Amino acid sequence: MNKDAVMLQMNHIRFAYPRRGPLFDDLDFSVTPGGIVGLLGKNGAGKTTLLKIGTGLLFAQNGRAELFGSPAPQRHPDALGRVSYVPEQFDVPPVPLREYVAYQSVYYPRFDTGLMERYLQRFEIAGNDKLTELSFGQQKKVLLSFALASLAELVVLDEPTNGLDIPSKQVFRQLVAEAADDERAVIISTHQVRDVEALIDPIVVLDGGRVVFQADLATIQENLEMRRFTSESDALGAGALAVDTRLGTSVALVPRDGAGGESLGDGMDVELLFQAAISHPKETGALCGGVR
Amino acid sequence: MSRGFETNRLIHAVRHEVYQSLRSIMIKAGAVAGTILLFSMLNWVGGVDLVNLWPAYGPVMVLLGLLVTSQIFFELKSPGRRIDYLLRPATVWEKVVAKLFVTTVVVWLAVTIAFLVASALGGVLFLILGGGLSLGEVVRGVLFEGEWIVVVGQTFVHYLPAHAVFFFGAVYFSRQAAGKTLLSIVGWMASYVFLAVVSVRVVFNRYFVGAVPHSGARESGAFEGPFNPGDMDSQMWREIAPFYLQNPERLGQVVSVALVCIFWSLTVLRLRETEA
Repeated sequence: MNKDAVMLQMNHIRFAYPRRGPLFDDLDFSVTPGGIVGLLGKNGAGKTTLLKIGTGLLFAQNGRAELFGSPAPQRHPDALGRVSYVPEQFDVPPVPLREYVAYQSVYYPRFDTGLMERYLQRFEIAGNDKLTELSFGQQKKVLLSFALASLAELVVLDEPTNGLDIPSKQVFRQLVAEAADDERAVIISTHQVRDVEALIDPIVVLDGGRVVFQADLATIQENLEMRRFTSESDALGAGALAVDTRLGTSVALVPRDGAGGESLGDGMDVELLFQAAISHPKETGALCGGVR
Repeated sequence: MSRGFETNRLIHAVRHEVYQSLRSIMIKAGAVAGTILLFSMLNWVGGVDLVNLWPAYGPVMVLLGLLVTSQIFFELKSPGRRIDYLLRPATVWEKVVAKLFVTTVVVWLAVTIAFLVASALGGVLFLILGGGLSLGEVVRGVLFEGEWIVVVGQTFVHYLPAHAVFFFGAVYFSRQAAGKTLLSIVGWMASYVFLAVVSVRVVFNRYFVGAVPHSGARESGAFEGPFNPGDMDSQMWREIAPFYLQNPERLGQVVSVALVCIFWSLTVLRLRETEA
């Protein structure tokens, strides 16, 4: 797939649930191949809704959502065959694991059975038990393995680390990092930033019904920096966009060209970035060229 | 992958649906046929007799079929499975045809096989218990003198219009589809009949009370003065009723085909508009 081709394109989306105010009023969002998009937002910000509109599971009242060039609400099989979606909440069918894979995989033309076996091994899922007899975490591992083994060009993971134990979260990160390449894109929607912060690039922040921040990690690191200050007021005085107190010192996200504090290197604290994008969307966005 | 109908994908969708539903349908059909056989055998208290299960085939097939049909879009009832079903890479037509196949052909075959097995079992038990007939007579008896094929065929044809309505109900109602569909049919028919009665009464009120004698009726001597339903004799039907009212069987066929086409199409449209 062409690097410039757009997999998911949403323009001027307006959406409201019945008997509620609009969740999105004029939302724009797009995904191109070659990244692990971190879709961040507070509870109720509309992350899941955005993903559902993008994949044609919900219909926007206004605006246009396209999935691989076809209108998302039409759910064309050729577009759906290039997407794999693992929702946050799911019910698995009461069928043995192997049968589930055998029947589901036929719909995905690039599905790799060998890869599926390998992913299941990495998650320590063995045997051929009925899916309903597995724990929630194990069910999730099966679905995550399936989504990655489908070799779908767009993999959508909604709160993928919910229900996973600590070792499995590590395996999950490894598998997603291995699966990502220039031809594919993975969208990870989460509010558990720590679980995926080493993984995601670019970062998209959703707040108030809009994408308030969207930038890749290189741009962010080019323009923002983590620094340690002796106090919060010092940090704020140095133009900090977000501050957190850790072990008695203040760690802040500041513009790279600002003065003061002690640099913490090139590492990026995504939680602080998220706070900055929520509390100072214009400034953070302007610095990274990603304001919407 | 194609945007339209694709034979291989359709075949796989059908296989997938059959795999998901066959076991449950066979269990239900077997349980019902077994129960009917058991109740038939209660008559053996007074003496062993041949069991003919086929008169019960029609009602069982229709009731069981409608029950299965009402539950066939089970994925849509569960928010956790709805996403998986709606995002399954197949066209809406393919998904609907797959479910149609299960709720018509598979159910029909399953009930037929269950009745054949139950009939055979009844025949074997009859022979074991010394029913006093030859094997050929027993076979003919349990197979309704060969009429079972006619019963099976006619039942399938009569099942389809009811199926079509309940099939749409299954995709339209997210909970208790069978009950709600039945209630909707009753409500719709009751309101239709009520509307028809009121309309006829209002429009033809002066004829009914005898204020305006019907000239045509008066000429034929069919009725004068206040309306008497008995006045609508067959002669009158032949003169005034349109072709289909004089041929209720044809009318039934036309209505059946229309119902099937309309409600199957509505099901496709409804599934297309379904959100997660």
